[in-house]
Amino acid sequence: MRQFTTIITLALALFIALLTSAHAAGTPQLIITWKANNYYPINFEGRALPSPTTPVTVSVEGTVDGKLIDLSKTDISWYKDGDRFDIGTGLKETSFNAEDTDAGSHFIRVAATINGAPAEQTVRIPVVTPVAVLEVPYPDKTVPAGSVANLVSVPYFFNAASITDFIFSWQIGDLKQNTGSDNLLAVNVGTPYTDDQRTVTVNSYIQNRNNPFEIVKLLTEIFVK
Amino acid sequence: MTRRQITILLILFLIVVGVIAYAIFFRGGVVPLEQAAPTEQPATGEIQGTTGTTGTTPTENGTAQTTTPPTTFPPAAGAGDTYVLKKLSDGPVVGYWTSKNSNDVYYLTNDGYVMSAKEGPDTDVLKQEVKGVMRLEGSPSGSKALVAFGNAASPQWAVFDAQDKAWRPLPSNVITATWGISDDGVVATTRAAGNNVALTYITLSKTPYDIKTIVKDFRFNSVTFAIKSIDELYIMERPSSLAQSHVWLLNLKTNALTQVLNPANGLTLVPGSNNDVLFRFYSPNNFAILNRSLSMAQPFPYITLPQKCDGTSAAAYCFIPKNNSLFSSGNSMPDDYLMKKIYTSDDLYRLDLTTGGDRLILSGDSSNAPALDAQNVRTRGTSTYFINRYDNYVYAVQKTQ
Repeated sequence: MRQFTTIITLALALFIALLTSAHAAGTPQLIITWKANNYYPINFEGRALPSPTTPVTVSVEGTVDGKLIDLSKTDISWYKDGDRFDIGTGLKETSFNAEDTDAGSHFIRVAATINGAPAEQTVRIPVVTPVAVLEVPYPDKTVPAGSVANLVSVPYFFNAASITDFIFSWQIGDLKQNTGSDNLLAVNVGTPYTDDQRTVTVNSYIQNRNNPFEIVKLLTEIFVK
Repeated sequence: MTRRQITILLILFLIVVGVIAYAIFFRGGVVPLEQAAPTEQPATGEIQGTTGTTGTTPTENGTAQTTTPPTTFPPAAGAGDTYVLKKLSDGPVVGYWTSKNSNDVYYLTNDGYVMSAKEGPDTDVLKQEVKGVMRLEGSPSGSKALVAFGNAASPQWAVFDAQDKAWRPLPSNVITATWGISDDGVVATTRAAGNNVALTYITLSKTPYDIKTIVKDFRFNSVTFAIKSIDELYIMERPSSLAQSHVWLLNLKTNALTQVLNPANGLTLVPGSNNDVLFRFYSPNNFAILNRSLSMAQPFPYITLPQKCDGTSAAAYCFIPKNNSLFSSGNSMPDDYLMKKIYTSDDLYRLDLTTGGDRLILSGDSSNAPALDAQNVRTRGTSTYFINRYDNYVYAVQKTQ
């Protein structure tokens, strides 16, 4: 009977231990999200991408058993391209400046120990050159002959704070247009006499006033019908 | 040991094995997020008179507003039904919303004036300037609108009530917000003590607002929110063809966070106006119409972007670019469309979500309609509303009796 009681006790202890560990050892998961702090139009619904020197904010959230958890007491380490660049207790958010890399992107890793279990997560953040867009709101960029075409030059991902930080300049065919802070170009489209005259070449330039090296030239063809 | 003791031991052994099996398999609710199961299947100077002049309008929403009579285009015949396209607004808009009960259409002009679209000249609802509107979201009933405006780095948020004809600002610490399941409240991220960002629910019917914290420190960057149910919130990373985006569902009661779609470059999920149907895209050209459980509702043989669709559990309405090569050679979608490098020329299709049959409702750039590049599509009853990116006017496609 004594032997039986020992076996029962051991079995119950094992049962309780398994129950407890099953409850406590939920796998921790980390989630990284990021944002590029550079210029893009206020109503842009896509993801802003960093260009060289853009400050990038990276943040982490953690889950255990699929539920968001408090990381305020957790030691969190941040790595960029394999090198640790920040560490701290409860350091859920940090930032770094994007660089022009051969890979064209940065690999960010975050590591933490949650309830004694190590957890980590990585994310690839692409680094791009600033982009100039010429909005040509006409189907197939085809403008009716004799009309006025309204074109808008729009900067994306420059390291600037507002639209007033840019210089816009234009060239239509061989004709240089005004340079200044206006990003709207009204083109009086004439009546073409030859097929060659049906294509209008617009060169638009966007330059960051605060950084003379951030200048993008864009060539766009519009068609006259 | 007696036979009885052996039986008890055997039962205990089976219980222990059962607990182990439970721990291994059923607590697998803790699958790593990255492995969460996908639930969805499947002038040159030579040209006469060609000159350029720079303007002073830094906005992206067209030229100055002009008052024009309402335009109705000739009816387009579908199979059995006839549809008519109407230009509803008198000028370019930055956003619009529709009332569910009255079918009234309200819009914000470039100056931020609130107007009501009418047959004949539109009427002023409130002529108070609101500059730099960056987001507008109609409330679930359509009687209010949630608007972000001002400085892009720290926008102000306010609710416009079409009945009271008045703006009511949200607290100044609101970072971003979306409507809750009713007009009574919004889910918002707010700046909190200690530089934390809190996820909160703001009850608008209380004065002052009742602000309830859901998550004390909530750090998700570059995301948008959409409510799914009273307790569930979609968290969607903004899309880029160059980076993976994720979509999560957060239970607002339990804080359970579930990744609901496989991460993908350019991943975009747009819930329809009543959440019965959702529209999903990922780069370069994968479009699908999903049901409430994020399974494919019906196969759809066309490629488009989620911003061009809306629908109910019965039918989806999607504007489809005529030129589907936009989604392949040399373009990066959805980036090129969202950055307005590309304008599309669309036709409107209806997909019956019961039978799977699709039908052309309206052909753009035809005798029935001008060129259409539709976005912000909303269906209400037998009407489909949208903003045409070519002129930024609000249009409606309406079934005629």
